[in-house]
Amino acid sequence: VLQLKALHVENFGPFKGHQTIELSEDGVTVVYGENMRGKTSLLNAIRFVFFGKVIGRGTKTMSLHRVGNWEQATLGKYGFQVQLEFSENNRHYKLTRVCRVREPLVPPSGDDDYVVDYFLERAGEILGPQQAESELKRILPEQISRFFLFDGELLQEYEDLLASDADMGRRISDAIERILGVPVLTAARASLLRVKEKSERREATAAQGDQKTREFGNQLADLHAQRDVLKADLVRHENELEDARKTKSALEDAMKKKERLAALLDKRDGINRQIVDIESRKAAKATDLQQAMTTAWCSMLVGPLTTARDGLKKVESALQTELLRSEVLESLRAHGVSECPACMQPVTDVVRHCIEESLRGTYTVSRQEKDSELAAIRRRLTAIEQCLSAAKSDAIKILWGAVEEAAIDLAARTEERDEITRQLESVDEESLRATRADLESTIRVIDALERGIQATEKQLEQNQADADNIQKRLVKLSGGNLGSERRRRETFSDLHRLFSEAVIAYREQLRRRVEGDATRHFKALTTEPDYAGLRINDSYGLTIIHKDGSDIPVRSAGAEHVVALCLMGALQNNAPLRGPIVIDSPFGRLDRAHTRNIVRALPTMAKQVVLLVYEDELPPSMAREELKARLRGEWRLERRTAKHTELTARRD
Amino acid sequence: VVAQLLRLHADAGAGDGDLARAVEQAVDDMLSRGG
Repeated sequence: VLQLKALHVENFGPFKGHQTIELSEDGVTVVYGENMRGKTSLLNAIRFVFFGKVIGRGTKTMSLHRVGNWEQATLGKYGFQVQLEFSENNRHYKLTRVCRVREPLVPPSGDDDYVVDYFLERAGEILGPQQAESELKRILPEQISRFFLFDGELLQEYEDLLASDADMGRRISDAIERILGVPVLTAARASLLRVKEKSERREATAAQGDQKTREFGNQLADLHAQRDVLKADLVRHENELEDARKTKSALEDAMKKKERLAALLDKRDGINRQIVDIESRKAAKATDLQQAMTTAWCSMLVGPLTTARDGLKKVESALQTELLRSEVLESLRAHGVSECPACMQPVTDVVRHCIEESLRGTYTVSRQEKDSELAAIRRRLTAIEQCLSAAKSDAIKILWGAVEEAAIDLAARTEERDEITRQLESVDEESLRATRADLESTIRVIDALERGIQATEKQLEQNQADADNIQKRLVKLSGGNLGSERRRRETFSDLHRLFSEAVIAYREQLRRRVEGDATRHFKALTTEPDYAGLRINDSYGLTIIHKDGSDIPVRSAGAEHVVALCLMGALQNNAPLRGPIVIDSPFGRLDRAHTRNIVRALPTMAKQVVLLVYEDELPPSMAREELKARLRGEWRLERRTAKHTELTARRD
Repeated sequence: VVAQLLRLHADAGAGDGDLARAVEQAVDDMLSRGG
């Protein structure tokens, strides 16, 4: 169990001169400080003394040049020092890390102007550099420090990260498994695999040494050689894949930074495509218009042509009637009928005389002439109709409008594009395009590598099956020291299988335990009576479960916070490595009821808790009321100046 | 032997060449004892 005893800071952030905070080894120590007084600096002092790093906003590493006390810097004093006294399994340690100026007479301007050294003292004895390094890595590996030292921001990120497939999500899952001790099993499995393969090679050599088994031995040796090549390929490809993924993530970051510009570039590319479309549409309409214009003269004559057509139609109709009438009268005269077949009136002699008269008047010109006159009129009508249909003035208007509309559209788009081009003038467009092209090619490389790895894994499976087959046949034979080598190989093989299954079983068991503990914490922390607990997934992400058994799909920022805290508590409960929880401003997003629940539950999550809070998020009266005897220390960050804070024990 | 292997790996880092030798040694010792 790692327990912090005292932290000494010297010119670190706002802590001017030498200052000390003593920490109770069990229970809760609360440090009160308003914004900008140095709560985060205090958490960073612990990070710095352990890992030589300071983390700023957005969980990015901060420049050490900016960490030294600013008031001292104005007096020409640079550099800082942190010393932490702690115990681990009842052994006392003193860890000191110093950041000093490389050239004392030259004012520093960046991180390169500083040197960082550290010393580790164990039970009064200073350890050598190598021993100190391995001891520190053992006591608190950096990868798992995020489960001991964290702030609201880091807490907030957990669930998102665990849910994502991103590289960071995998790294956090790995870190969780590390704190839970899984690597002991996976490392043992890896060692056993190496030794197992070595024993297989030895068995093959033993088989090669005897006439009866030589052929099988040779085949096995070939398969082992092939396996070595395939495994080397696999490792190489996996490393390349890892590198490609890192490159992809770096390129994605770079693209994100250039996102606005990339969006502008995309927009401009889109506009360029639209311009090409509009231009081709305009050209097509212009061609149609040109064609329509070849007969446009017709539209000039629409008036006279219509008048002429109407006149001719009248003449045509009159002529047609006249011809029909004559035809009827002719038929009445010709057949000597006594009754009109159309109106059934009797055809008297008087009527007959009238018909004769009428026919005589009608046939001033011959019937043939009348027919040809009608045909001529009809020809003229057809020609006029053709001209009128070609006139289509409306169609021309529409086409004209479309061409003009396209021209306006084109002008607007061109102006928009030129505006974007002006905005992009100061930007290295080529580098942006290169970044994008690199990203696309990296994605293709990743895809190819993943497929390559799959293929190699298949070949390895086949290789293993072939080797198993030969080994089965070898079992029936004996000779030389084959028996003892076989027994040895079988033992390593059994042990490897045992550890492989143990990894799966242990992971499953851990997940169940973490889920159980997280649920227990969650029930104590949540103020919602309908929430029944939490369910864990393969990457240690947690989902809230309603009492009716359904998942709660959306979580508020406050709920995320509570769930992440439950995960932290559950990890602490199940980790072989126990340590303190140091939290910076954890209640900022939470209401009073949740804050109260969490404060009450904190001592069940870890043996030692250090809370860095401002009074509004956790009033001292509430801390005292909820923690009672488990509240072991109260400190205050007191302002002297904007650049100077003093650590004082709270006595009110 | 299993307990011995776990202890070995709890005390050292993964991928250590010496670790594989120590594992081999532990198992060979067991086999030579007739285990």
